[in-house]
Amino acid sequence: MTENTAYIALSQQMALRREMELIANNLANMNTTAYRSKRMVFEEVLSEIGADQQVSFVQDAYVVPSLDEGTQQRTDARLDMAISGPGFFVVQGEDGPRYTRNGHFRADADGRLVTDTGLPVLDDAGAPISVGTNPQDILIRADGTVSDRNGPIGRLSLVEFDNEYSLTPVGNSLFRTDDVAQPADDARVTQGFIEGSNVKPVLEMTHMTEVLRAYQTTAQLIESDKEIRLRAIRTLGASA
Amino acid sequence: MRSLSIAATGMLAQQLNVDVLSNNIANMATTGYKRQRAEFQDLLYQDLNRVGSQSSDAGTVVPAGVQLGVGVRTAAVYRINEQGNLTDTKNRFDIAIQGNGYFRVQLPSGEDAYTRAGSFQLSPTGQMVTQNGYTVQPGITIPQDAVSVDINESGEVSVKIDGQVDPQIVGQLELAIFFNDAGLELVGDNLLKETPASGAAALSVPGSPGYGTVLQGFLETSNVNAVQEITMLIQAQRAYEMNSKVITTADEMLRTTSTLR
Repeated sequence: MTENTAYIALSQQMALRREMELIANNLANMNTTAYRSKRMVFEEVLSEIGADQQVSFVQDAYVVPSLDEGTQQRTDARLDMAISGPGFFVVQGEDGPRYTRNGHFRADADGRLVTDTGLPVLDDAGAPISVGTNPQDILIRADGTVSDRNGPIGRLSLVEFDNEYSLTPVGNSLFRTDDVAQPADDARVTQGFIEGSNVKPVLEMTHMTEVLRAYQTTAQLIESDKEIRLRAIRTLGASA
Repeated sequence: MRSLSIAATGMLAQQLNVDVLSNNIANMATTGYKRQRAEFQDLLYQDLNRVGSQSSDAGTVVPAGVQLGVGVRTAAVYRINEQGNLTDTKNRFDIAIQGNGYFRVQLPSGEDAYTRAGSFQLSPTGQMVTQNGYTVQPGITIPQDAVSVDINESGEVSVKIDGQVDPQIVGQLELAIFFNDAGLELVGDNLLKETPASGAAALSVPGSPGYGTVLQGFLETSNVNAVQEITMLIQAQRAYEMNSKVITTADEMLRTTSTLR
C-alpha cells in the first residue's frame, strides 16, 4: 500500500514542474506586448486501490489565461494602437483569420497596414487596409475608424468572443479559434499606445516561491516514505 | 527542465532591451535621431493536452487544454518617427524638416541615402554637403560671391549677390517619403538607406501634400524622452533580475531532486 506514496508524490512533482515552466514563461514575457499571463489548473485523479479505498493523484488539467487588460504604454508611434475593453484586431493568417490585441502595426512596402510579421490587418469588410504613402498623417478614432487628411479610409475590424478561453495562442501574440467572432461594440482604440503585458511580477515571484517550497516538501515526503520502509525492514527483519 | 531555457530567453530579451535603451540615451543629443523601441512577442506554444481534444466517448471536448509557452523573442526594434523638437541655431545652412520626409544625399559609392539631420555645410566648390561631405541631392551650388542665402518653406534656395537687386534662385531642395519609413535601414552617421521593406522613395518639393516643410536656421533634435527611457531602463533591469531568480529557483528544484536518496 505504501508504494503509492512515491507515485502520488511524483505526480505532484511533475505538475509542479509544469507550473514552474508556466511561471518562467510568464516572467520571460513580462515586457511582451499584449501578453496574457497564464495559470495552471490542477485536477484530482482518483485511483481505486482496493475495496472502499481510493488515493488521489494530481494532474495538470488546464492552462487558463488571465483576461485582465495590460497597462497601456505610450509609444507615440502613429501606427501603434491599444484596445481598451474586450476585443481583438483581426489579421489575415495563412489559413484563416488570426486575432490579436497587439496593436503594433506598420505599413508595408505597398502601403498596407500589417503586423510585425507582415500579416495584413483587416477592416470590417474583411479586406486589408491601405494607409497610403503617409502613415504620419493617419488618425485612428476610438471606434477604429482610420482616416487621413482626405477623410476616412476604413474601419478596423474589432471582434469579441462569447468564450475567450476558446482562443488558442499560436505565438507572435496571435490567437486562433473556430468560434464565431462577433463585433466588439465596447472596444475602444487609442492611437499612439500599445497594451503591455498583464503579468503581475509580484504575484509570479510569490507563486514561484510557493511552487519551490511545495516541491521541496514533496521531496521530503518521499524521503520520509523511504525512511519508514527502511525502518520497517530493519525492525521486522531483526525480530525474525 | 524547460524553465531554465525559458528564463534564459527572458534574460536575453531584457539584455537587448537595455542595449536599445542605452543607445537611445547615448543619442539624446544627436541631431535628427529617432528613438527606438524593442518589441517582444511570445514564442511558440507546445500542446501537452490539445484544446478541443475529446475528453469522453460522448463527444465532450477539453475546453482549455494545457499549452506551455517556450519563452519570448524579439520581434522587432523599430524607430518611432515622431517629430523631434526644433532648436534655433541661426546657422544659414541648418535646415530642419517639419513633418514628413527625408533629405536625399549621395554616398561616395554613388548610392542614395536619406537623412533628417539637416546640418549642412559647403564643399570647397560651393556645393551643399552633409557633415561628412556627401552631396545633398539634387546638387545645389552657392556662388562664391553670395552675401546671403535664403531657403524658404518649400525648399527654394535663393542667394543675394552683391550689386544685384533681385535675389537669384540657385536650387531647389527635395524631400523623399516612403510607405514604411520604419523599414529604412540605419547605416550610421544619421543616414538611412532604402530597403525592400521601406518601399521606393517618392520625391517632391517640401510643402506638397503629404510632405513636410523646411525651416532654415533650425535643427531637429532627437525625440528621445529621458524620463521615459529611464523608467523603461528600471523596468528592464527588474525584469532581468526576476528572470535570473527563475533560474535560481529552477536550479534549486533540480537540486532537491538530485539530493533524493
